[in-house]
Amino acid sequence: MPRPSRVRTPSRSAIALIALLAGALVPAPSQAQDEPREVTSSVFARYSDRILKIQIIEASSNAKRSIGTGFFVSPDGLMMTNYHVVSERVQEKADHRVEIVEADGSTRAAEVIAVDVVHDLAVLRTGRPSPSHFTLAPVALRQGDRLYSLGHPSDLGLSIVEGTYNGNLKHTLYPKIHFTGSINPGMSGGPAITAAGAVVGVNVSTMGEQRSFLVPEAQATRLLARVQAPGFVPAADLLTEVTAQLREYQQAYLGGLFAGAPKRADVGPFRVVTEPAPIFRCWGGAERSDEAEAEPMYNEVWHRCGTDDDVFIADDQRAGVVELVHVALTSARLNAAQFGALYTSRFSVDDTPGGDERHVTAWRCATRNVAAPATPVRAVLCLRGLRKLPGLYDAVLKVAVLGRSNAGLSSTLTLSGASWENVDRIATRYLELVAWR
Amino acid sequence: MALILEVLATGRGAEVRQRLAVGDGPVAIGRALDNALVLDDPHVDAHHARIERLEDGALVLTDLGSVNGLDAGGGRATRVAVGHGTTVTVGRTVLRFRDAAVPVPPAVPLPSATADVTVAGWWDRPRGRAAVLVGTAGFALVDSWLGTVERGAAARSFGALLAMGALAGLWAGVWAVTGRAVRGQFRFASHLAVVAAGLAAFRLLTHVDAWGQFLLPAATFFAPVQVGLWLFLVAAMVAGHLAAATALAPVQRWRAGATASGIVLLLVAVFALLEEDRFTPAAEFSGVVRTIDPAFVPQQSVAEWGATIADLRGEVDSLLAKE
Repeated sequence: MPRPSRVRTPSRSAIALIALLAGALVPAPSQAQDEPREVTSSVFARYSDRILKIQIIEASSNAKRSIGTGFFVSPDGLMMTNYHVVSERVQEKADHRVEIVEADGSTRAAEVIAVDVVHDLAVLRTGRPSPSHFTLAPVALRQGDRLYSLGHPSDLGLSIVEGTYNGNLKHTLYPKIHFTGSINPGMSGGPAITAAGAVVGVNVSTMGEQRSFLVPEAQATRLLARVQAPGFVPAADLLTEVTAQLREYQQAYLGGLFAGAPKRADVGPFRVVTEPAPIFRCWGGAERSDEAEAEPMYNEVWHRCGTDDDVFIADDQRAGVVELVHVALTSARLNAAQFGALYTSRFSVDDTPGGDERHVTAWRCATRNVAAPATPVRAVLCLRGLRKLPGLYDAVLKVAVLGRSNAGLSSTLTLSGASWENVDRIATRYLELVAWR
Repeated sequence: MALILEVLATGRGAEVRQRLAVGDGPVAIGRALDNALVLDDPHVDAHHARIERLEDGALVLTDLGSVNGLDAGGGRATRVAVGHGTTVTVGRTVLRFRDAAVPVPPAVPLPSATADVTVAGWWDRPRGRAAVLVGTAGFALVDSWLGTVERGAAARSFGALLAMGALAGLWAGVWAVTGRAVRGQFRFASHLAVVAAGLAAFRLLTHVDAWGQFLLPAATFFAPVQVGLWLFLVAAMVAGHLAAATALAPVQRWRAGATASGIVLLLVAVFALLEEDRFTPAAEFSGVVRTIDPAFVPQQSVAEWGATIADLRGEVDSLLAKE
């Protein structure tokens, strides 16, 4: 399953326009609802003044780098939006500034004062009173309830999109609301509300074709409470806060990964770990080298598990990705040397994620033959550091089971934005978890 | 004084083509076959000139009314007194006169008893060439067959061998033509044999490299040894070519080979230094897996693996600290 993409607009690109057109062609919502159009127009009329466009200005060119949406959540001008809308300001503070765009087109500087990188939220201080604002509070919903998402799709002006509430997504680490409606690039950070004006969630991402996702109101409320608590001082460097949040967050899913007796599955002649946590989804398949022949030269069976979710850190950087790929090779027809060549070609594939020099170091790898408890293996660990988030690493562990001349397993574990403690523990523990059947 | 008449090759150098002792009697020079010195030069007359000894004992070269005459360096002449060191151009042929008693340096001793064998190496002997060519072809065939995992490994291996043979033939052909132009020696088969030996050594080293990576992935001595082997191969190729192309002594040939290796090493080192700090998003690791019994594969314990990856972290942290 492809991961949802964030709905921030990088620029008024062709892609953004296509996304908008696609949204416009979506059929009108069900007519079963009573006079939805009147309701929609009144929702827009009542609440649109609480929602503004946010733009990130690149300092040297003084032009928009990206846009998003935000909404007022307090009378003193605090605005809620997505972390990914303002990530450039957080990542490269000197090179970017944040502006809000009033309804009349005038702009005003705003500052990011708190972020929740894990849930993709940020709070801005706009320095202007906002008598018209949303009050965050829990709201009871049933699947199918009508919601209205507001925002600035592709920088085309404030728009309203109708859709339905479809409960929380499974296979995510924290709940995300599944909103059936077209959230498009630029609408990120805007609110999704009921007809009565209660905020249900914050627009965050889409998989296209009306499959959109919201950050639940509860997370926004929690972040706002932190900002409004007496004695709150914005962090001098929000990156430190981001690092701390990622460290804390990963304990929830990496802390106990592969501990105890993890779930195992048989892949070819091997026993491997599968679905290490409920948030993982696993997919599998088998390929023969030659479909036409009764007995192929070799068989290739793959088993892949991954989290649907990840944490946006920067445009080309994600944290919280955990992926397991097992590829079992067997052959009754290749001789030992030929099988070795096949095994080498599969195990030599470099599936490390790409990266940008601003965010990551180059990869460094260590290769050893290790006498793991269940079987001798060849182990490769590739590691790189995250430059702006000290103490966090991306890691790719590759393990090849040694011992037979006609069967082999190449297993790859990818972790992103993990603390060294977790990389260390998992890269050692994992060697114990590949075995012959 | 006995005088020797030398006919020099025109063009490069002063190679002597023919020597003739000039006695007392006359020496007839010309293109006709009844001359004492026959010159195959179209600019020389049938009966061009004659050397005669005068009564006072001096030798004189006299033009016999030829079309192009004689030239002793000062333009056309009809009579030239010749002695030791005289050079006369006849048509396009240069004649030089030398005293037979001119001392010559002592003979240069042969480099060693085996040197002669090395100069005319195995690549010059049909059996040696055949052995190397057949051996390399067989090795390459088996090697590609063992590296092919698709159906029809034998056919694919033959295809690969043909492709390799065509490339080697092209390479050897270029050198053979070059050799023909420069030294007048074609020697295609010798060139082909040397190319084949180089290819075989290359494939062999690739395997040594892969096995080394598999068995001793942590070995730090391996990289320098590997580099050394590659440099040796370069030196051997250079020295081998020099053996076939020149009469240099083995020490001189290998010195030239070592110099070539040194230049290669220097270039590689400079390139590595320039590349050192460049960011590459790709990971470099050895994914070589071999299917031998793991009992023969040196392994470390899981605890040692823990220490290995801790070192790796140190390496990454030093990258982080660089900025």
